[in-house]
Amino acid sequence: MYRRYFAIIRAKCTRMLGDTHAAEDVAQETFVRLWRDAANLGRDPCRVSAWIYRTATRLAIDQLRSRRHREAEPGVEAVDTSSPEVLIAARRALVQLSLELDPEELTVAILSRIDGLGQREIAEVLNKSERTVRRLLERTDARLAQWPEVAP
Amino acid sequence: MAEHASYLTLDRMQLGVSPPPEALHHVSACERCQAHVERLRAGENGAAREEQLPDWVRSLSEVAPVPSVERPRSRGERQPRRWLSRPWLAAGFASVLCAGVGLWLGPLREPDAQPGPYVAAKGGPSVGVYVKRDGRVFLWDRAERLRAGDRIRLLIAPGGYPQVAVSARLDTGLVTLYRGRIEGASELPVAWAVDEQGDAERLSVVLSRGVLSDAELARRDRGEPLATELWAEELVLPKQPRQSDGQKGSGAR
Repeated sequence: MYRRYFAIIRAKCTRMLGDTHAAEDVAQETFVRLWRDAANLGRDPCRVSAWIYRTATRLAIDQLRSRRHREAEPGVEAVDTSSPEVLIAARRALVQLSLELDPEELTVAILSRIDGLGQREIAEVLNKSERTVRRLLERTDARLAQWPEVAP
Repeated sequence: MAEHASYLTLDRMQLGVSPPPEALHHVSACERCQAHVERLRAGENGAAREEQLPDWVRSLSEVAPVPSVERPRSRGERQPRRWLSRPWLAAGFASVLCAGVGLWLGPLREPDAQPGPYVAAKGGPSVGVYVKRDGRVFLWDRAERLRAGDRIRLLIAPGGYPQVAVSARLDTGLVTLYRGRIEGASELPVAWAVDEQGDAERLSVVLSRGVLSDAELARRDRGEPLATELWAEELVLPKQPRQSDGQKGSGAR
């Protein structure tokens, strides 16, 4: 299970947090929880991957909120090598956003702007209706308008 | 669809989940998306071959056995080996390849051939190719040349057609490699080995409403009309030149 899923978990956490130590901590915590819940999740990789995205995002948000007096550290190798500067700027913005947005809005922002998920995928990951996700995205987009670093 | 496939889609591709046709078509032509999938595979392969499990993972193993998570299978599909992590067996009729059908992919194309294996209208049928080499699996990027010993597996988005037939075009005529039902974008449950025979091979992928016999496939190949609606793709597959006569193989490994 580690070999199959941990690279995915770690890449997800690195996208969100940038800092390798924080990303590794969140990735490890995510995997431990996955290990514990594996029997309940079953064998469907779609279900498992949705769980990973949901859990890792929420753990990362906890990590971001703990950084409210520090900026995200630059210079970390970005997963998206085509635009590391953009990704680093987006992470810095996320630290600020963690203070401004409620957890639900921040979760949607991360899934949408960092992970590139569409409305349907976000609904699947969060176990919400697409209508609810659409309203959350509209509300979040209005709040994010003042942070171009995380603009789509 | 957004400019790039989402990371969730790409991660699921790594897990063996077939992407939507639009995503498959995009990924086949996008270096960034392919690079992400490749990094994941490198991470998985590295963990499988070289890295020892971290102590914190070992401590979990001591508490409970490792649960297994498998990729979903479409209804009626045979259970294939997980070719990303286990020795990988070709299906019985793939032994046709032992007769000397070599398959490869590369940038060379016949002037009248399709531009590549991923040409498709958005939402329509499309064909992708996974290549397995030295334990590494990657999505063909239309630049990589295949080598003898490579194994390829077709990823097909049928676009609503329920039947698929894959044939190899030999000097002696068309040879059917696979024929079966297909539901949704999925990998075929068979794969083929690349050998050194010849300098180019062609695969014909035909999607149809009804089952096509060998005779009907031959008629279609001759340009004769058939009663059933169908879609076809010709894959032109160049391969690396033979190293030396002494390395000539008898076919699929």
